[in-house]
Amino acid sequence: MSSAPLLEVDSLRVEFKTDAGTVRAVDGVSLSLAPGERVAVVGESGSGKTVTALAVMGLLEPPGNITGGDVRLDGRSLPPLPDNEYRRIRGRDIAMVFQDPMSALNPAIRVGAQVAEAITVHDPSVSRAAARRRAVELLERVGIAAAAQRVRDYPHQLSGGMRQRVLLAMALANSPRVLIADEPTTALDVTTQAQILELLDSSRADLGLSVLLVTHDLGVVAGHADRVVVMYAGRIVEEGGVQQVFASPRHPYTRGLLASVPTANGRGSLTPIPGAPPDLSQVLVGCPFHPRCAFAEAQCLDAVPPLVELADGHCAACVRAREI
Amino acid sequence: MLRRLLVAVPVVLLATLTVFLLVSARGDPLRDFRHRPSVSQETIRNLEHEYHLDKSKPEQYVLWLADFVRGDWGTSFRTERSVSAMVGEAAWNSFLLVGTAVVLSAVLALLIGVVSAVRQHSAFDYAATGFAYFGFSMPDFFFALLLQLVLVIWLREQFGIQLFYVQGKYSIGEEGNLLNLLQHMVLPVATLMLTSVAAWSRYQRDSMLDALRTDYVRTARAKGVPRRQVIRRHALRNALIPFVTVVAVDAGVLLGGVVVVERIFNWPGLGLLFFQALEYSDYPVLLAWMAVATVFVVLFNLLADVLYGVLDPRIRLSGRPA
Amino acid sequence: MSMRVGDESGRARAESMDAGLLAPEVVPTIAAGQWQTALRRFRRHRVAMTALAFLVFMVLACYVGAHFAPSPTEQHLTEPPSGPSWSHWFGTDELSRDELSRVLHGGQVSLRVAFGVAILSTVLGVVIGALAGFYRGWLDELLMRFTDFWIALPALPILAVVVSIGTIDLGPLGTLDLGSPFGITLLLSLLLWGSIARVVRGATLSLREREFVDASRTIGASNTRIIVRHVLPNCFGLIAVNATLVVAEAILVETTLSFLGFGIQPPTPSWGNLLANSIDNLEDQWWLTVFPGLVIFLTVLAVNFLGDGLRDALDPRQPVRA
Repeated sequence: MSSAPLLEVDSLRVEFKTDAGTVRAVDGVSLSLAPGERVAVVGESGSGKTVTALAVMGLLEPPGNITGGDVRLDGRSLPPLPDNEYRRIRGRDIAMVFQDPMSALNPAIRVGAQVAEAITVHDPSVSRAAARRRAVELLERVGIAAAAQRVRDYPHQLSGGMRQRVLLAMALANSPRVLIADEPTTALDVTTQAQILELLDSSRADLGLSVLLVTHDLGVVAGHADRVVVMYAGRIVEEGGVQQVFASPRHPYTRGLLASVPTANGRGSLTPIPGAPPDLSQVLVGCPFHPRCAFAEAQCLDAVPPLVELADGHCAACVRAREI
Repeated sequence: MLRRLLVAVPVVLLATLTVFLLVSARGDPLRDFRHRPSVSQETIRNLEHEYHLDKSKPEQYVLWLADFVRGDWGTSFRTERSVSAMVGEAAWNSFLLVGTAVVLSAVLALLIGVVSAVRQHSAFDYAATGFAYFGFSMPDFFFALLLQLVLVIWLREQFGIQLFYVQGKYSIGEEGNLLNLLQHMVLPVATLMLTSVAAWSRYQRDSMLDALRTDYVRTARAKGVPRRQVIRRHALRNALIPFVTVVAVDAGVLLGGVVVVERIFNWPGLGLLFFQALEYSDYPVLLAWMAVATVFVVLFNLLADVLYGVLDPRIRLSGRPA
Repeated sequence: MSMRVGDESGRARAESMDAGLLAPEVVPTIAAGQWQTALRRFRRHRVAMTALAFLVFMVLACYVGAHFAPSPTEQHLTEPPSGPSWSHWFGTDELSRDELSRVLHGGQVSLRVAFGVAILSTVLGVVIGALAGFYRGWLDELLMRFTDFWIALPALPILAVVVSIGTIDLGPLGTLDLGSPFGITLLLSLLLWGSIARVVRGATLSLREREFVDASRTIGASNTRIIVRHVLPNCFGLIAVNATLVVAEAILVETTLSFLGFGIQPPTPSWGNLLANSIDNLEDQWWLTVFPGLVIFLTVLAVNFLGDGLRDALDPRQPVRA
């Protein structure tokens, strides 16, 4: 499938200036999203995955800054855009759903009004009544029962799962082409998680969406993504088709991640990865993972390993990738 | 809400009791009268009877409270006028000052706070911060005197013009003249505003900054809502809720400021009344004043609670905080 | 009770914190080596260092410098009051007393009261706050009800009335002149301990849930030991910051009271009553108003900057450069 990528992130670098020094949250990340594709970005907290997502949306606030690389939608470079133009893209071409449905909705505004706002902000010609009707439709579409009544509720009157659905409704209101979902299920219970993920899938099928799924949950990746990108310390350490990467992980970190996930049948032991992620305000020497790596050698300290293609579409950033 | 009203009642009772005990602790209210040869024993006995000074302390409190609630506040030792009439007049005059000060301060503080937050770290923000420090550290009585020195005395000496007046409500012969009244009000109101604007603008800035950092503001931006609208419709809406209550509550604190300001500018309000009553040991006025002041503060705190409940939908609809 | 807008704002803030609208405060805990970091951060804070230097200078001037200034009580009734000059830096007053030395001597009193209040109210606040936060239950409830009630009283008028009680007889403990510096110190401490107590209570509440408390319990440490050795040291920063705020408030309250004539009584000088004398002579002898007032303002300003510097130095969250 060689359709032109819809969304491209090209050697993105994001830095945060703090009193303790400059933190490189994202260092040379490149990824692409084709129309209709589902790409999962995986990593632990601090890996830079959320920052990447925010950078794509242009939602990085000072002290964070894009200091290198590019983000392109349909070939059009986004970072140089002034905010009043960028905002036209947000919520219409690229939409984002955030992690915590409790705090992501304005507690003082009714739910229906917040969904309607997503519509009227991009099309001021829509009347309030029309926007309200559309909001009810959207709420129904995301599976909220009695949507016509629910529309007048305040966020605190809804359950966590319902709130997440509302957020989804807001994101899908203008039929965007890219949906970024940042840990869409972390704050929810298992049953609701499954429902929300199904909703994501069916919406994708209906609208022809591309989905960028940011998560640390490998179970979610397995069932709901086509390709996976593994991030560590602000860099991509492995990427490829989900089947490929899960069947034969080529980077020690990916192997560690897969090994530390409990299996459904309960057998096998949990082997967590020893150590902790590096301090990103310091300059890293060599491979950022080597202090925790079971396969580390002297050559791992020489330079940061580049991302090397091992099989069709499957890349890894490890000098020992082929051996492992 | 009913529960809050009920809780307020014992608070008021306890407060009036405290206040009564404190005033009584000053000693015999009729002390000065007893030393005056022109005052007859009969007058003294009448006074004792009228103010229940011939009864035990607990009885005194209860009887006084009953009188107070009924509106029988006695006659001033100093002016021999009805205390309730005096307090009524004074209250209106003070309201003129305090009401104006509160409204102007709230508006100004809101503006300064919001702009400071939205343009954080800008020159305006630093200037506003500097002003806040100034306001917090400046004693209001000194500020009042400084204003007088600069805006009245210096202006008069250098340019021969008198823009503002510093004594009382009206110049002699100008009663009822609105402009004259305003000229008398400017300096006292400005003094009252200093602390309020400093504190409230600071509070609003913090409140606004917090609101701007919330997840729901981020969601709004992710939806594509333009910046201005995000500030107005999302951040400000939520930052305003605590602000309203701060204003309502601090309005009670202005009572202290009013005493100072009215003393300096000779403004015939509650503050000056208190000052005179205490200086003169005017027992009936003192008691009535303290009781009124206490009820007033409790009422305003209650108002703040109620307002908060009304404005925050999470409290309004479920009857208790989320 | 509260004089400044801080207390009520604090309460409104606390309530809105519960409502989740504002971010809760993190209790900064200081591990062993972090004192050095805090000290270093503080030294970098130029404004705070300047403020500290100024305050040290102020204290030295008032106590040591007073020796070298002309006598504050020496009157030259033949000479008219004069403005600032080389022989009298702050001019002279209507009795031809040297104003500078009056300011310095007044400073001794005002500063002594302020620091005394800070110490006393800190002790009170820490003890009560820690006990309330640690043991919770009825003690905590009582404390909370009490502070609610306290806030409901109008502070300045009550203080004025209490001071006007004069001297009270404490039986075996002797007599206490409420208008003396010691008396005022006591009264102000009773007024101002609340904010420290609230802060310490909050910190204790969160700290008692931490692991090191459990660890101490398992090795059999007594509650007192836990509070003193573990909980309190982690509050030092919070306590220090609040104590400086109390100093600032104490100066302002004391000078206001003294200005009105309801505080430190002449002939004991205080910055406040120095200004009281000057009201009538504002037009002719501006220096009698400006210099004492400026001194109060600058001192309070310095204390506020100091408090800010302390707060910044002890806050573990890195302040971010724009």
